[in-house]
Amino acid sequence: MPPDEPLFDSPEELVRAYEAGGFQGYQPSERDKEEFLSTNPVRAFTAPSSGEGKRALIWGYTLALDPGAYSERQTVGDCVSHGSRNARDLTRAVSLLVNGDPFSWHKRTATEPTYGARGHGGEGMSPARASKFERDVGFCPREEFPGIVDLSKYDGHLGARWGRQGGVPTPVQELCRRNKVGTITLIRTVEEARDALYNGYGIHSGQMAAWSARPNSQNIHGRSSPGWAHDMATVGMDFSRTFWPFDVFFIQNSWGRWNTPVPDWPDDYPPQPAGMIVTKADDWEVCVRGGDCWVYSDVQGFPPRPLPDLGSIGRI
Amino acid sequence: MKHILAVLVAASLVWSFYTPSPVTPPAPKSPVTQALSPATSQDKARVAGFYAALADVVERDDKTVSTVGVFRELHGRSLDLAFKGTDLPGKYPGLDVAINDLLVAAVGKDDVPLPPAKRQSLVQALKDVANAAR
Repeated sequence: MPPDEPLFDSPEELVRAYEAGGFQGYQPSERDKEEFLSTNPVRAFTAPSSGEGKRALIWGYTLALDPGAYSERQTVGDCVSHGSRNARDLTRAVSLLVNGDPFSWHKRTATEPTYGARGHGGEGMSPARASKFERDVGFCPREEFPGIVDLSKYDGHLGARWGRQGGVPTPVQELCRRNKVGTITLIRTVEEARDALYNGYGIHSGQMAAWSARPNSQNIHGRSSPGWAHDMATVGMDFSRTFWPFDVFFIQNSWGRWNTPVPDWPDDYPPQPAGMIVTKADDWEVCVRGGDCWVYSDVQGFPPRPLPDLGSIGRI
Repeated sequence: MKHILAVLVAASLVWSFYTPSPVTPPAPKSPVTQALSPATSQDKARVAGFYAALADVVERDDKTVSTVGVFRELHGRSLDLAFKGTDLPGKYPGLDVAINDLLVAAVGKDDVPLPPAKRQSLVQALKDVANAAR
């Protein structure tokens, strides 16, 4: 296959590749992890407050600022960059809408620079490598930068090509340096993940685990096998047990409409995005067991842009 | 002499307790009110009704009008839908600027999100426009 043709044309192809084909979008790397953590000011996550018995349906904040969020379907093996983008945009949305941080949402952010920094020419990436790039270099909004790069529409091959060519071009890195993720740390337990989400921090994780495309009789997506070597963002949790009689996490996949949404959805919840996995906390535990679950906090946002007026000029 | 002294003391006491009541100057009219001062009662009601409704929409919404930029779009398009093609646009010079200034004073001109406190400031400003038009 020529290098710039999509590896995956449809959600079904993605499922087949990850499930039966042994495709490795997530590549664990103890070396990358140690390299990141040894230069990180924080090795362990500590939560400002506990989410025990609470819920955090925080993907709704991202949807409020970006109604098309979670709609990008990966076309190459760049799941790690989709997971990390979804985590950092989630943290950004909460910081803007809940904390009132003086930044602008501006736009969804791009996946391509992160994937271009994977350090090799093949497919797949280690989450620690993504963390290192986003902490040390940064990230870009989904927009065109004339004369440098067009990131306005997702193009999986851009990141794939940069990896083959030795890394992200210097001018693109310079663009990314305007925005960084301030703090990235490892999540080690289900309770830490619950607390991170409750405090408004997005999570992504790489693991060898799969979930069924069809909800089961408990109104969740159960685990299935064989596992996927895959990275996804976790965008919410409900530990209140008011709707489901057990603790649940909400994982956001990057495969488009690959699964059937759970049929019973609480009225007071944000919409259920296409591709979301509703999972028991007991099943989600696999996301921390492998040691590659990362929480993004303190994302440096975009400076606000002044508007010419607030809409009345020349109209009344 | 005693009588004169007593009168002087009494007069000084009276004077010391007497302070003329301050004359409260009338509150300056809102620029929106000023711009609409030549308006018919019907036109005032149209403007007041529009902004009261817009305040209500923004106050109840917590999903669609998520940023100042989205509000700007909503405000502009709603004005077009409500009044474009009628005699109102431009009929009262300075009204558009007066409304804009009031809203900018409440939320600024930066395209930032609208967390609850900022949204409430915007809602109050829209209600102020409606009240000033009445």
